[in-house]
Amino acid sequence: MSDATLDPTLAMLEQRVAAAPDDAEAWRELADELVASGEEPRAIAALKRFLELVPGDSDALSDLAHLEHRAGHSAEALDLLGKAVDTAQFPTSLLRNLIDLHVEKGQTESALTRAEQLSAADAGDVVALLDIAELALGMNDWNKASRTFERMRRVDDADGHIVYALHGVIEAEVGAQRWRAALNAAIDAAAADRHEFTTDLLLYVSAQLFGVTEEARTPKPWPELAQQLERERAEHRRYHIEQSIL
Amino acid sequence: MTTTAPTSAAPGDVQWLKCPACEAFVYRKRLERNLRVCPECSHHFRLPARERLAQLLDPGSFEELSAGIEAVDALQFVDSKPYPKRLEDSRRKTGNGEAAINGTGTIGGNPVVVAIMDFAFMGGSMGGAVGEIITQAAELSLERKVPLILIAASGGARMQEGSISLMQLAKTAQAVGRLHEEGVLTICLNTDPTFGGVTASFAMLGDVLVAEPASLIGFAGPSVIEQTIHQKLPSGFQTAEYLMDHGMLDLVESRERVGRVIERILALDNARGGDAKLPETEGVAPITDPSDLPDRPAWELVQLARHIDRPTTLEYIGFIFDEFVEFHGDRLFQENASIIGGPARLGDVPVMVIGHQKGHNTSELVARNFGMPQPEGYRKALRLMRYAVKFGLPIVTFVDTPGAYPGIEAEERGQGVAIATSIMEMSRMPVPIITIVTGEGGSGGALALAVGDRVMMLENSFYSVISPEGCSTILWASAAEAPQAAAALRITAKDLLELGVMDAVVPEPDGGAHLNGAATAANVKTAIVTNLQALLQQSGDELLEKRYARFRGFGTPGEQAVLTRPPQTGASS
Repeated sequence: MSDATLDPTLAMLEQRVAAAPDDAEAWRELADELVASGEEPRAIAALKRFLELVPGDSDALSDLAHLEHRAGHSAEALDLLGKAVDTAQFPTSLLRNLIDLHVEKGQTESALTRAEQLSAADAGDVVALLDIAELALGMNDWNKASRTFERMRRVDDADGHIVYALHGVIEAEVGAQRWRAALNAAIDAAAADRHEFTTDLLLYVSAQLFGVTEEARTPKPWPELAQQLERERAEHRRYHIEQSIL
Repeated sequence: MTTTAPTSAAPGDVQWLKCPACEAFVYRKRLERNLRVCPECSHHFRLPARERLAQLLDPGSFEELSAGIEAVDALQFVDSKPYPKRLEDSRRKTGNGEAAINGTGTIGGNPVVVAIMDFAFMGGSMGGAVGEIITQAAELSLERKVPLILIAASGGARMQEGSISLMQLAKTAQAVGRLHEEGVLTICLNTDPTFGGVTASFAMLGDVLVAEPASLIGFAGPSVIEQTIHQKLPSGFQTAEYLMDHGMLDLVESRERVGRVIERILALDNARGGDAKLPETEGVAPITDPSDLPDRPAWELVQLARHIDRPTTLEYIGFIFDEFVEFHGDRLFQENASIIGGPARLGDVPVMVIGHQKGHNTSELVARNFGMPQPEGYRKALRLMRYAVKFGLPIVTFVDTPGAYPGIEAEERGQGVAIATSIMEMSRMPVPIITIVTGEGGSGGALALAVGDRVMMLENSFYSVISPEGCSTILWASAAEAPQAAAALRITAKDLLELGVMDAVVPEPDGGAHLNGAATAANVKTAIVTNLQALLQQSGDELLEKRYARFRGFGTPGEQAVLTRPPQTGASS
């Protein structure tokens, strides 16, 4: 829809707030229309006015947070979105974006706390589990990572996704150098999936336990496998995010 | 039941979505107003089936017919949970009974039967019920002789139905096959993602294959391929653009445009048959008497025919036709830009237009390989001609090529086979075919588009078995004698009209077509319209018989005209 089509709506809403500057509902509607039209600086101003009239409105705080983020003010965005989450009646959808903002700022502890909050609120949220597991891997918290991937194994029932969870368990157990547990996960993964990457992981783990018995079975180096695991997690995450949008 | 656009989100719904491509946060309402295309990077978000129907079909026109078609658990399949439980979960999540919906509707007022897949329902996997929904849509389309629109979004066949799901490939493919036999148009819109058994069946069998930008479409998944071949896949692998470059898609269109493009194709399909009228024309009539043409040095005409500013096929199409939709690809190996083509309207009459394409500057010429097609170009042209035959469309071809591309890859991929097949099949197509040589008519590469009922050429074009330079090199051992070779080969419009190779010559404005493209096109239009008027009165059998006789007579003793005038070797006057 073109801006020209939207202009009459905006003009009407602007007239409303001009006529009644304390009409909070009018300011909210104007802000909403401005955001939807991509008029972001004007939307920020309208939201700020609305929040003067209705302090603490979680939806408005969230909208303002996202607009501030888009304007490059990530610290303000984090602060506002945190407040929005803490006051929202249904915080789960806001938590997802708050986790992303924390990750973007490198605030892994905060991201992990919020991811665990989200997972507690919605046990079936695979992306939240991925967040927790990835953050735990990044902190070398292998136990948490392994436990989380095990949870994901039970929760994520999309076709073939059990392998992603098992690959995660392998990664965590390799990090902890618990080779026997890694081997068990690799055997389970190989039973569920015959793709070569799973075989590569199995070879790597068995080589750590039993050594390389044949040259043909020399495993790929771990950094190469870890890189592939990271790519796989990104694809897995994208699948669930796209599905959640559908 | 009708489908409407989604209403505003419920409390707690995500209001700010992170674009999977550019990672910008996008306001849901803004995204929905933008047809779920990211306003920052134009990433096309996946669409729920009903939302896509609401976007594509005329408001309120959809009548759902597939309610109640549900999967049968023929295998009593259990993995981490029983199959019926998975189905139940998907039904609850999507509100749909299965991973596809079918029904009837209209697009721009054109009636269609439509079947659409829903990726949110078990990854759009195709089991028995989905196959049934697709097949029923195809059967209804056949019964009503109404175009079928198939919209795919699928990971492939549904594992939980084992071999029964595999059989859906055959079930749906044969249903589309019957539409092909009966000349009912099928358009496939393949969306992100379309993979596996769906790609290997109905989704790639339409007369027209369209996809949205960056949609991933393929048979095997990229990670499977990467792990099998142990190589990093090229950037953009299996995207819609990649597939179009490799000849597998007709069109890649943005969500904003795709509905309008489909509407145009449907309108062209709707216009065939009936009392469609050819347009009035104001151009100068074509010349059929050689004595009405002046004697001019052949070499001078060669220079004019090659003039960089001479109108190209796309310009003639712009001047002469309406509603042209360019189709791409040979569906075998590659898109080839040296030949372009697609359906268009001539007045009210839908036609198929095909032609060599050059350019007016170096970059355009390089992009079009100087109008020298690879085999894929001829295979694309042939595919479009078959489309014309299937739907009874007259074919108009524009010839302007130095020749088919002479290269190693062209030979490896069967340049000779491609040209031969085109010549043979063109000769046996029971629809009117009109050819205009607009510039260079270079040998077999030209003839592959020129086996017409009426073959005409522009006054300053030429048509030859070999380029003058090539002939000179072979017979005079030097390219320097090209002007003499040009004269000896008798490649001018006047000579070819007298020889009977041409049926008529289209006059050009003073100085040549490059000085007035619009006037030249007006003359070309008159030539096409007057000839097509006559050809449309003839049955397919009559056309075939006369076309056979036309080409049968060349070189036949007693039938072949012999030139008595000396070749024109003089300098330009």
